[in-house]
Amino acid sequence: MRNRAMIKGRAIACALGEDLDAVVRGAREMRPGIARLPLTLAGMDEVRPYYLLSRRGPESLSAAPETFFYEVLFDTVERALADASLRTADLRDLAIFFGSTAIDIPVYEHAYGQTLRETSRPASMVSSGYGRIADEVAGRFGIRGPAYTFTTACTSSANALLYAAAMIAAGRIPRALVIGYDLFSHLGFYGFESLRLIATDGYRPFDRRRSGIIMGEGCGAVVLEADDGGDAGAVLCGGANRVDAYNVTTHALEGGAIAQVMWDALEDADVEAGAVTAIKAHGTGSENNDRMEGNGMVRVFGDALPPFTVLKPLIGHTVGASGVVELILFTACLQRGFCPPTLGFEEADEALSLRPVTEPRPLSRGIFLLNFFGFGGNCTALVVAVRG
Amino acid sequence: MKGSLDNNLKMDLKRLIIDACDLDVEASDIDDDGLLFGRGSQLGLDSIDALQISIAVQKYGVKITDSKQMRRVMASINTFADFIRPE
Amino acid sequence: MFIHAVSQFVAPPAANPRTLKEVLKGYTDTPFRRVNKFILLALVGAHRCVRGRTLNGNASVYLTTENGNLGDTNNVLDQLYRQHSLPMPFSFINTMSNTAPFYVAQSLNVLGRNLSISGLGLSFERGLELARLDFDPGSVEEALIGAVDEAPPEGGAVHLAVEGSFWIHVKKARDGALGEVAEVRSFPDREALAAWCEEEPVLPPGRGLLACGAAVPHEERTDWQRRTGLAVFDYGADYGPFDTVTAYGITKFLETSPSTSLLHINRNGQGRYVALILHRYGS
Repeated sequence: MRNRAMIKGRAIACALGEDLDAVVRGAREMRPGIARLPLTLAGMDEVRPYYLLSRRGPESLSAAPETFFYEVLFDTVERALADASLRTADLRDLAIFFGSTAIDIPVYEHAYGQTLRETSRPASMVSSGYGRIADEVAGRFGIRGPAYTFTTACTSSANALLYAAAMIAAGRIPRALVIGYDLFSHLGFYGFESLRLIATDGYRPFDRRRSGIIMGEGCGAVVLEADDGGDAGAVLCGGANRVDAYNVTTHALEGGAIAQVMWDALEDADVEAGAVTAIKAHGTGSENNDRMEGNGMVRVFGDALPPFTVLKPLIGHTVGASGVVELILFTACLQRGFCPPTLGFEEADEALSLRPVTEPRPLSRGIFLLNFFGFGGNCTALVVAVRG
Repeated sequence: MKGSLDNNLKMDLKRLIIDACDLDVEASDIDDDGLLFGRGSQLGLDSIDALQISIAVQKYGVKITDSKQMRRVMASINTFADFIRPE
Repeated sequence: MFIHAVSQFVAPPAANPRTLKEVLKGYTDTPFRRVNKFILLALVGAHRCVRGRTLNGNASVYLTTENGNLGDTNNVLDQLYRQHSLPMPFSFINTMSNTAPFYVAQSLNVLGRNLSISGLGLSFERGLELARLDFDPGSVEEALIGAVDEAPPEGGAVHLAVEGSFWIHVKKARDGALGEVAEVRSFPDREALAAWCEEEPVLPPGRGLLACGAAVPHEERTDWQRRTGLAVFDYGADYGPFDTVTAYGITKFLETSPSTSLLHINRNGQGRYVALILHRYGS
């Protein structure tokens, strides 16, 4: 097993809360907070479920989002840096790896709507540059290292983790700040609705009664450093990224590319499939995801499929943020002694006959495989060791 | 008049489909009775094309929300035209 | 990381994506539909670079971009805020910029890593840096690295004369290469870069060229010229400012220069620097 980088500090903001102990408690007690948001903007008299950040309610969605956007981001980063006990001199040479699906859309779509109302002409410019958010973080915290922004849809911040760990292991940088961040955007919410992907009846990945995805907001930040070889903590061992060229919206149902990225990740981490303790599945809740990911896992593990779980019913699908947010939630639960359950799963799908973990299961150490898939055929798998 | 008997409506629908699905064919090349969806059909459209068309067709004041109904309604130009104007 | 092919596509902003579709037909017979202008720009550049050759099936695609998709993002916001309709599904999907490297990979059948990468003002440099990181341990042995940006939609506050798509085809193998990406190095500030230039003469004086990125002010350029003693390779005035101008300069050097080396210095608004060293071999 290779130890590429260890998690030195971390912080999260999601629907379960912001204090890590409270978030883990929420996961153990399976208490998600789901809002119901109207589809008024598209003239539809219906509501859809959504996991908002614990610090706000639906009424805040019409307020000026720019202040809120940077408050959440800076606050989460500040807590992660404090958790890592970095000195000011350490901050200077931090490298930033930022991953997001919506980037600054929550900010400029609001400006677009406002300008349209006030002048009946829409704002002329969309996006102030994909790299701007990472630079804002650098400016705020006095960081002078390089900044990399990844926009590969739902694998964005998983890819940020993959490259941060590789760069540390190669000795190019001493430490990295990796951020996954996606706030509510009308573009994303109505976009998923236009694809008819949003669940109407509960969040139930891998359950035969699944009805789709429920989106969520999340911000996660981790500080990575070269592994100190100690006997505690969580370590990124390796991972892989590749593309499934089958279709821009869906991966091939047979799960060929899904299996390949898991094999590649295990090889990169120098870990045998039989050594995997448990899997954090991507599990968006769509029928396509269940089939392709289920088929992919069976290809890799055969009859010896380790326990697997899906975190999204606890915090929603945080799209580009899911890489960092789910890494934090998963490892924090393990370090407090349990593998979080797949909330909402009750009845197995006969065509798959796969059952995820449904109750908090005692588990505190081992080697874990984390899957992330996204639009544009993107596939990323990470291998993480938790040492208790 | 039933939609399938209205050549103007059918021509409009063909243009709408060509536009919504970004097809490189002429409206006059699309057969009224030929299947639109699936491998081997005349246009080879898929489920996302169906979603694309279902939103574009809202200008006719129709809403198609159920995906099974969508495929049935859009089987061919004739079935589609009859759905939009049954009488 | 050895460079085996280069392509440049630079043109006045295409008002209609169909014109780009016609251009693309000159490079590939593969039909494309439900693709927008940003994706078509990427395809034109990538196919122009590959020119019908077959790449290894595990080759990777690194697309770098400053702003990603602009046109379809505008369309979706128009559908939502002005027309009060659900967005068209494919307009929404294509707001995600990694659909562009997806179509590049699908049409060339290259199934390795597939990334969309940015760094404010330094996107192309960041892409080269990450690709080199993958090449070093041998995780990746062949890749296409591109810089793609569409001009902002018509009538906006920002007007650019051109938009572009610039690609290089790189391999771990040197055989038949036309050049090399020899160095990609980040610096926290100007002083650190200056120290590096002085410590080890980056390129022997008189044995290469110096180019500066768009954000490097004029007086600073003369200072770098004095420090390095290199002759200047200036590309910034060719088309004025546009988002992929760095990749334009790099590919111009690779396409037009005789056998020599290039030191390319660029900075972002916060005064962080990236230096590139490229070698162009004789033919």
